Amino acid sequence: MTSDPPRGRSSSPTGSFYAMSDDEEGEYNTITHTETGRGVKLLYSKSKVYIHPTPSAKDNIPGYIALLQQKGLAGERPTSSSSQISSSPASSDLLLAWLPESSLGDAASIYVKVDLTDGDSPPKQSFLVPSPPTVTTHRGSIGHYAFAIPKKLARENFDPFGENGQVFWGGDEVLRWLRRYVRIERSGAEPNIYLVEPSKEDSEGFGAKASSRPAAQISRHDSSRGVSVKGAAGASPAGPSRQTHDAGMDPVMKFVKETGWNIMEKFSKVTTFTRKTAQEIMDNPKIPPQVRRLMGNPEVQTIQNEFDSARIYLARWAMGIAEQSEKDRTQRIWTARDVMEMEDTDVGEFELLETSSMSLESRRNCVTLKEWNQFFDSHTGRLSMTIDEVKERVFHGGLDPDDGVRKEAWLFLLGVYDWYSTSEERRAQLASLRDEYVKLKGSWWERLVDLGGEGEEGEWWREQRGRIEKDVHRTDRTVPIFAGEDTPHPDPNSPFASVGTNVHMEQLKDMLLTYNEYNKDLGYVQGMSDLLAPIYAVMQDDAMAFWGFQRFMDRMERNFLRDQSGMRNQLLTLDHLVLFMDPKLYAHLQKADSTNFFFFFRMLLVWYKREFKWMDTLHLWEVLWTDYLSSSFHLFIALAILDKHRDVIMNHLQHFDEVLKYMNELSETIDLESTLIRAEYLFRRFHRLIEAIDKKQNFPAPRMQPKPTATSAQSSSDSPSQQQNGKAPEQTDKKTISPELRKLLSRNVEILPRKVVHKNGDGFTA
Amino acid sequence: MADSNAPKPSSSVKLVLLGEAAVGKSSLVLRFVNNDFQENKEPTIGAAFLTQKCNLPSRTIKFEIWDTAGQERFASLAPMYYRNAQAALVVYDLTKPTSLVKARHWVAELQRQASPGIVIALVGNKLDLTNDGESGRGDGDSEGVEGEDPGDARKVSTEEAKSYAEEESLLFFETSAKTGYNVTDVFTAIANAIPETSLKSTRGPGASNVASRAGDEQRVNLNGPREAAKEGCAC
Repeated sequence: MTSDPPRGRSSSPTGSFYAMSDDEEGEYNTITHTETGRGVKLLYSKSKVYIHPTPSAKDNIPGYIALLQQKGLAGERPTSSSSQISSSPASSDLLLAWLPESSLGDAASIYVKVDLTDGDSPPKQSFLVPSPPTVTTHRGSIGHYAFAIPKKLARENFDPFGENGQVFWGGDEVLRWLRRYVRIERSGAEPNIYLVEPSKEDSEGFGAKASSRPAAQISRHDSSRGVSVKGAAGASPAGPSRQTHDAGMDPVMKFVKETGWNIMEKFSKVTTFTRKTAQEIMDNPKIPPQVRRLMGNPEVQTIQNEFDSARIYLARWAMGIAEQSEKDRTQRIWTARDVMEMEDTDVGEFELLETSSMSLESRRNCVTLKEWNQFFDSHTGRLSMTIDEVKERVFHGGLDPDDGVRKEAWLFLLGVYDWYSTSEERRAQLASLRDEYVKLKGSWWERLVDLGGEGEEGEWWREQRGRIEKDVHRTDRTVPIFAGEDTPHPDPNSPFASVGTNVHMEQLKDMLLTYNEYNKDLGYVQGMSDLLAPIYAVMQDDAMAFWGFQRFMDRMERNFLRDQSGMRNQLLTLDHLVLFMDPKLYAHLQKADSTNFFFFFRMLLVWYKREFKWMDTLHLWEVLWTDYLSSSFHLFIALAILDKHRDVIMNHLQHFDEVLKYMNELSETIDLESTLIRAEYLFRRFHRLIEAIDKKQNFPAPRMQPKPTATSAQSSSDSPSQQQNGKAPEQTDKKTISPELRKLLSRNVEILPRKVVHKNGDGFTA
Repeated sequence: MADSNAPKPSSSVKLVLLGEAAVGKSSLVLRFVNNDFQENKEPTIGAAFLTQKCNLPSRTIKFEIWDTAGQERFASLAPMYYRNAQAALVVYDLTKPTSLVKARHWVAELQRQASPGIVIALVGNKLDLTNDGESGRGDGDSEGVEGEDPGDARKVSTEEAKSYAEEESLLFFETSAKTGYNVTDVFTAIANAIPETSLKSTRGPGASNVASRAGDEQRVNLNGPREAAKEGCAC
């Protein structure tokens, strides 16, 4: 990591900038730092603010958030007067920093003292501390990870600066203190964004825009008027270099950049955590009733003996909490070297996304029908931007769930429409596809007369029809359009004749029977109704839904083969991926007999349809259909889910059945937004690791790499694979890249050759 | 019982559910484990794993239940589930004769390939759709076909299935997951039928040898208060 050269006074990380000159010292009327004789004024400090460089709370780095008043260079501030400094310092003199405990040295006691000072006013006595040990400077655009807070938290009205939120980390106090000195406005568009001394443009940009995307940042207008907001572990490229967003280096952002995105996951835990707060959490009405009941149950401990889900349920809920309190007890001290090592590993891991002309938070806004239509030429109806640009938008933002854009856009994403077709061509295509669907439907319609007729084929057809009938009646019946049963069943012999049906279920049956006929090699297989229902629900047009489904099935066919070869291949790839990305977790799964990754079977078979809530599934699928980063991005979703539950799995699940049960029970509890973000992060990390290894090993000679020697040490700062060393030295040793892994970088959708389907389908081909 | 406070021996029993699609495997499990019934329960994909206890006078049986997907297509996965299973519940739909044919196939496969001594129960489900028995009610008046009583959708006679079960030495029950009729009885009968000898190799979480929690569990196992003994399977 490198330090950028000073860009101006407020970005200069030099000691002289922060320190006071001798004659000014009197103004502060304070303690002088013994060593240097200089210091900056500590206005506010808040202890036990943790950075979470890894998912394990054991690795947390304790530190302080501090508001410091520093001195500008003499003469630069025209209104320099003693009264102003002491009562109302210019904003450019303020430094909001996070400082690792280990970096404080002798000054620690002063930080503690200020932390303990009660009341809302600054300490009467001023406290001087050495200027914060700024180490690094980051430049470049800000990864959008920085903006994301798991939606789950947002849904619970998570507000990092909330005074009444169930989570307290001192953010509100920091804010209150900051307000004493600078103007802070809360963004109207993004309640979690605070504008520090906003310019007019900032206010316009953030103030009014309606957006529902969760975000948490303290956005700072980047001008020389602005506050120099710096993290001690890395100074921000603030100052007169008027960059747009990337200069808005607030502490939160800072943490994210310094520690990787884990901070987002654990953001809620950036808190002073004590036994007492643990109790408070227990009393919190938001705790799931199951857990509360368990906690109040005197038998709670014997439950462990009962081999039901209680133990694991608790474990899941307690993800991090137990470790956190343990941590508080032991107060593991981090040395500066630990922190530096951390920077070499996780910090370097953090991926910055390529710059985009769009502001980052709007990149995660969903694409509305209006925006979608603007992608196309208004006369010809032909796409007027690149396919990748469209896909990037959908990949990051998804499509508006309410305005009907999906109906159109899904036909492109699924490949029914050619991306560069004109609207005229699409109209023609639509008409012919409708005709074709009617024709296909007619081909089995005739069978109805004799119910499939005699012989094996008739038998097969009746069997398939019965199966489809039963499955449709139990597919997504909680979704309104499939819920009703008010239409009399057309077939008096149906087992559902007495309960009735509805027109949409009947359409599903027709489409599935048509597909059964269309793809006779494969036939209908359980799970297909799960894949069709969302498409139909969006299209509400049987012909278009059928063709969308048919295109979707092209890539999903491999999931339904009799020999399970397609599923096995994907599970195998996942196996390689986990081994490659997280060998420790892999070793644990190995011990638990779970490296067949069978617990992902359902997730992969129907693309997480059973794991996410209905609306989330629609969003996930359109993201996956883009193939924007990889046509196998669904495996990174799997990796993200696994990664999120890594601690519980490693600490509590020892057997295959336990793992399977645990994963099955995640159904409908998984937060999509944070999973997508995590998956993207994991993909990018994966990509970089592959690139780094290729570079190093001069691909394609995959061989065992000896322990890093002097040569690798040289490049350690810019090689991600080397940065792994701090944590998992064994990792580099056996990094060979399997063809399965390499394929994960491909964006081409694999479609099975017909003869494979023919051989392995259970359809009926005469 | 001589001493109700004395901890009863507790053993785990691995049980697998097999049978054609949509005969009610998951519903039977749901009834047994949660005493619940869901109309239009979605098809199982892959497999579900659930647990439930069953208190017998002499011991507690902890069922580890593998509920599998029914469709033929996924049959190649079944061995993974019945491997080491001590019990199997082979389910058919008594309104659908072909489902009994399928059940026979499963029984044959189990007898051929599963652990010797596996306890197999043949279960005809959906009794609520027939006019029979105590469960009889069946609020959905199924359309009578083939000249049978209106409201009786039974297509597999009790005698037929029962005599087959006797031939193959299977436990036999007709159940309704919907009304709950006979469901617990199936599991209790299985629990009773498991030979004592095959209960030796118990493996619960307490037996797990790994890492941090093992010690705690050990302690809890030894000293923790016991749940008051309740006869029969919990529901």
